[in-house]
Amino acid sequence: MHRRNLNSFMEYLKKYYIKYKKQILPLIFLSLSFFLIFRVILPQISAISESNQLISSKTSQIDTLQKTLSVVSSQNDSLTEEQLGTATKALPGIKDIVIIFEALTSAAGASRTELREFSLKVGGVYGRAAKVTGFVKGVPSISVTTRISGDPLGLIRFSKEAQERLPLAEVKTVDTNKDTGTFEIDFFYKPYDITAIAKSDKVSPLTQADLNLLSQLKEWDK
Amino acid sequence: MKTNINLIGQTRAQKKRLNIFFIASLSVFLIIFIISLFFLVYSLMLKARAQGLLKKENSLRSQITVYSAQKEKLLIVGERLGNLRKVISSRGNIDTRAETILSVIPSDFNIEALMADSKVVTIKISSPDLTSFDTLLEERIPNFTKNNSLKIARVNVDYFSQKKDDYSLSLSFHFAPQKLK
Repeated sequence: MHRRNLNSFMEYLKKYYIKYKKQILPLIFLSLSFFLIFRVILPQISAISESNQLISSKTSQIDTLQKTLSVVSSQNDSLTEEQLGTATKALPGIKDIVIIFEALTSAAGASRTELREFSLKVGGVYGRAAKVTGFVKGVPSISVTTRISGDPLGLIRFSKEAQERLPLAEVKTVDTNKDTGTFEIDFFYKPYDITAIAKSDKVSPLTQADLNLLSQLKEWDK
Repeated sequence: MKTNINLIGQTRAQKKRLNIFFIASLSVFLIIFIISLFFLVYSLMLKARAQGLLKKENSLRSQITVYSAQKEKLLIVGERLGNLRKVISSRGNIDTRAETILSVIPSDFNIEALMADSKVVTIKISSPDLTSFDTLLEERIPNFTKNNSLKIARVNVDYFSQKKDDYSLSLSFHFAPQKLK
C-alpha cells in the first residue's frame, strides 16, 4: 500500500519536473547565488576586515618590538645600572626614612647648620587604605617637619640645600626665629608599577632631555 | 470557440524568455561564484600573512626575553624620569624667594625671623639706625620689586616698632599665584 503511494508520488514529481524543468535550473542557480552571498561573501568581508586589523596591529607591534630589541641590545649595562641608581635615589619606590634622614643631615652639614630634630608621618605602609600625605601630579610625598639651628642665612641655605639633594623634596614652609628654624618638607616617592612595566613592550632610548635631567640629578646626589 | 490562438508562437516566446532567464541566472551565479572564490582566496592569504606576523612577533619576543633585565631597568628609568620631571616642574621655590629677599636687606640689619610658604614670605628685621629703614623702604625695596623676576604682587609693612634703642620692621612679600606647568 505504501509502496504504491510512493510510486504515484514519484510519478507526480516526474510529471512536474518534465513540465517545469526549464524553470528549475535557473531557480537552483539563483538559490546557490543567494547561498554564496550570505554564507560566503558576507562572512568573508568581515573576516577580511578582522584580518586586516590584526595585520595592522601586529605590524605596528613588530615595529615596536624591533625598536625595543635594538634599544635593549645596544645599551651599556653598567651605564643603565648607574642611571637606574640615580633615578631611583631621586624618586624612591618606598617611604625610605633612612635616606630622608641622610638627606637632611647632609643638607644641614652643607649649610653649616645643625639638625636638631625631625618628625614625619609615615602613614600606611601596606594595603589599599594606606593614606598618602601629599600628591603632586600623581606623585605621592611624605611630609617631614624638621628643626634646625644655625645663623639666619644658614637656615635659608638649608632649605636650598634640602631642595638640591636626593631624594627629591619640596620645602613647603619655613619658619625661622633668630637661630632656629622649623621646616616642613615633602619628600617624594612613588611605588613601582610592576604590572605596567612587565606588560610594556615599548622601550624608548633616553632622550637628550632625559640625559640632561640625569646629569642634573647626579649633581644633586651629594 | 476561438480559432486564432497561436500556440507555436507562444511556446517560442516562452522558450526565449526561459532561455534568457536561464542565461541570466547562470551569469549571476558565475559572477557570484567568482567573487566568492576571490574573497576566499584573499581571506586565506590575509590569514597566512597574519600567521607569519604572529610567528615573527613571537620570535622577537623570545629574543627580547634575553634582555628582560635590561628592558626592565630602562623602563623604570624612563618612568622615574617622567615623574621626576613632573615634580621638578611643579615644585615651589621658597628657598630662592627667601634668598633673593634676604639679598635686598642690607647687612646692617639683624634678621630676627623669617616665615615663608607658597604665597607669602614674611621677614622681621631690626636695626638701631633709623635712616637705614628709610633707604630700605624708599629705595631698595621699590627698585627690587620693579626689577624682580619673582612675580611679587605686593609688599606690606606689617608693623614698625621701637624697643629700647632698636627699631623693628615686619615686611611681607605676597606673590602672584604660580601657574603649574
